[in-house]
Amino acid sequence: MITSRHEDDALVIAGQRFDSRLLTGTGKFSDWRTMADAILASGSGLVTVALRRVDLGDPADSMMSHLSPSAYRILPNTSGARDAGEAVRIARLARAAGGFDWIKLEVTPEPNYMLPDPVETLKAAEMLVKDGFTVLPYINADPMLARRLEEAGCATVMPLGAPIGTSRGLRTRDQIGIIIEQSFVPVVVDAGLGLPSHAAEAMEMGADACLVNTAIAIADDPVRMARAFAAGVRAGREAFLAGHGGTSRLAQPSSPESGHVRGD
Amino acid sequence: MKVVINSQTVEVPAGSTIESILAGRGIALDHTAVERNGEILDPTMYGSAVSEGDEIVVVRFVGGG
Repeated sequence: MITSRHEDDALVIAGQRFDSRLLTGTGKFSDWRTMADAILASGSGLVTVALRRVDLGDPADSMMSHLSPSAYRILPNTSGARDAGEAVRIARLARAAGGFDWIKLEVTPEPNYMLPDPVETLKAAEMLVKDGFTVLPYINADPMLARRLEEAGCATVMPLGAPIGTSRGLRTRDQIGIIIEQSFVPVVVDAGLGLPSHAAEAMEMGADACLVNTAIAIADDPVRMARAFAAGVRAGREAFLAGHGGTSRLAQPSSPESGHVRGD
Repeated sequence: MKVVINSQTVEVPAGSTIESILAGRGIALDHTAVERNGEILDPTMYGSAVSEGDEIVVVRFVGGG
């Protein structure tokens, strides 16, 4: 049997293998059932959740009973953190609440664009790594920051394509290219991916994975969109592994240039 | 006795525990974490009595990206 050298193409983060290179989130779905079905349709092995105070006046149904931690790993985020101290507090509470020691670190003090604070993110990452967490930091597409976070012991770097929830695609393409070129940990493009073609583009460039939440959750048919993103990620990955043949300014005929029917 | 839970001041009977307070409000304890006066509580402490003025924070997981 002919086997591809890339047949075993698992994503490996901190020694853990994932068959899918699509990570998904649990926010903004219209109902739990749709969320659960979309996650399964995505094939994702790593699924983000947030931590919030319980509303005493409305202690609604807990989301966790609708998730399947046996089918995928739960990745709490530190959303809402405005500085390193708040991020560390949220991470420790998430570990206490669910025993989860992987954390998606996000520190976004500015409300309009929710761009991550690089100084506080690095500070929090250092504290969390020291505290035994496996840290996956959400960052702007800054190659130097990515390097510093890698040196601090982070398991991945997760540069944004565009601000959270904007669906504007790979606006940071060139910078993400540098991060991919230089990184020794998996590069997960997170935030701003609005269409499967955006995810495919990131994967074609050599990103290791993509994280998508809003674009799936707010689609008219989230389950179908989850499948579409899974296909986009797979297509992009396959194209990256296949090796792009390059571009040319002038036309390059794909049919023979001799033996024409006209006789020359 | 007054305690503060998630920034709300509430009256609870003397001898109340985290467990009894949350159960009385219909809040399940699975996948929940509790801070008392800034310290994360080990679940084995949920049965111990709270004190007047304690500041309690109860959190759990919600959808997020």
